Amino acid sequence: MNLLLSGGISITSEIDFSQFFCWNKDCTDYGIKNQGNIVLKERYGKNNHALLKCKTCKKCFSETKGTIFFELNTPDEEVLRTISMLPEKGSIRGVARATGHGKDTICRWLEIAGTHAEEVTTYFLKNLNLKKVEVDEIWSYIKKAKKCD
Amino acid sequence: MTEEDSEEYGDVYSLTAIKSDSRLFLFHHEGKRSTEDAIELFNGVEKMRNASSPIPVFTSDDWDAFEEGLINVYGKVELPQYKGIGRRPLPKLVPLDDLKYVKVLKKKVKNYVVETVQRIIFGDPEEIFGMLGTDSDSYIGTSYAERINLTIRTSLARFIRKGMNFSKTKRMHQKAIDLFQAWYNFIKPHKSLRLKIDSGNRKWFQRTPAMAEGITDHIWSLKELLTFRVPVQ
Repeated sequence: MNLLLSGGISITSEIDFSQFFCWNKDCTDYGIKNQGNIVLKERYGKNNHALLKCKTCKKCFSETKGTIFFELNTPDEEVLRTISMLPEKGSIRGVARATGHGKDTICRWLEIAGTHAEEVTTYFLKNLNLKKVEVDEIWSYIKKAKKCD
Repeated sequence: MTEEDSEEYGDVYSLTAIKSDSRLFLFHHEGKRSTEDAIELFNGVEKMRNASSPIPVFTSDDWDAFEEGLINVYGKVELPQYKGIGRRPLPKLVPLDDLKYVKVLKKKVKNYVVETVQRIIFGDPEEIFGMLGTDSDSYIGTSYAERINLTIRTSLARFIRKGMNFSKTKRMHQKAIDLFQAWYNFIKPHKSLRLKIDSGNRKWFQRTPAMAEGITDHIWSLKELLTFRVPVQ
């Protein structure tokens, strides 16, 4: 019992509560950080993810909510190592052979990561002081390299 | 091409827009080479612009859809004056007064570029050259946009010519470029943006395009990008 308790305390102290906010839209603290309303409720799952609780609205949410690791069972390092090969000229089948994950799995992770990356881009790239903008086009094709009329 | 093929099969042109002083990859759009696609691109760039700052100087290569797209986005409808004879003139789209657009024409002989000509389409020539100055910043061209196209081709397996890694669906094609865009802006240090410093053993201070723009203050890791919780607006 003592061991468990000390283990629990050490895990609790590892979490940085300042980066989380409540995800419940009806809560008064929705989307606001550093309100002191987030506490640890319990650990769950194979990867020991933390289940956090908002004291204001009494609703629970996962620590991976809002990241790409939400609802994934594979360890985080494994996912990151796989995704990091894709923008370095890695083909889907090549990455599948190198890491040992399935093709469909990698495509699913790429879709999640692309959607998340697009959200981050639209959040940061606004109110810019544009002075010179260059536009150009780059050719590629889908399935067949001929005009489709 | 047969009739059973899906509509999205065939050639796809990704239109890219880049901010040339900080090398920030602003926007991309996948489509065919039509005016509607150019309008989508310029609308995306217009959303990122600070409303109080002036309209930027646009540069492109010789392709008419860009010019028509620009008039549609940064233009106004004007009625030409009636001269007293004949039919009344139809209303016409004219560019705004502070819109500046330069086209770069390349003359080629046997696939080698012999000469480049900068042709000013919209805007006052003296104003454009006066605003840009006479130093190295005054360069007008599409070199930076073409350089990022090379980076896309060498970074993503989908863009390799004459290979088997081409995209099979348009949806995954867009997602791959979305991931590349964030990776290029936040993670990959840009060689031409580095600063010379004299602190101990380090000679160079590496920067990413987002650092040059002033959005972040350090080079991000992939984990930092993918676990960033986007704040609610």
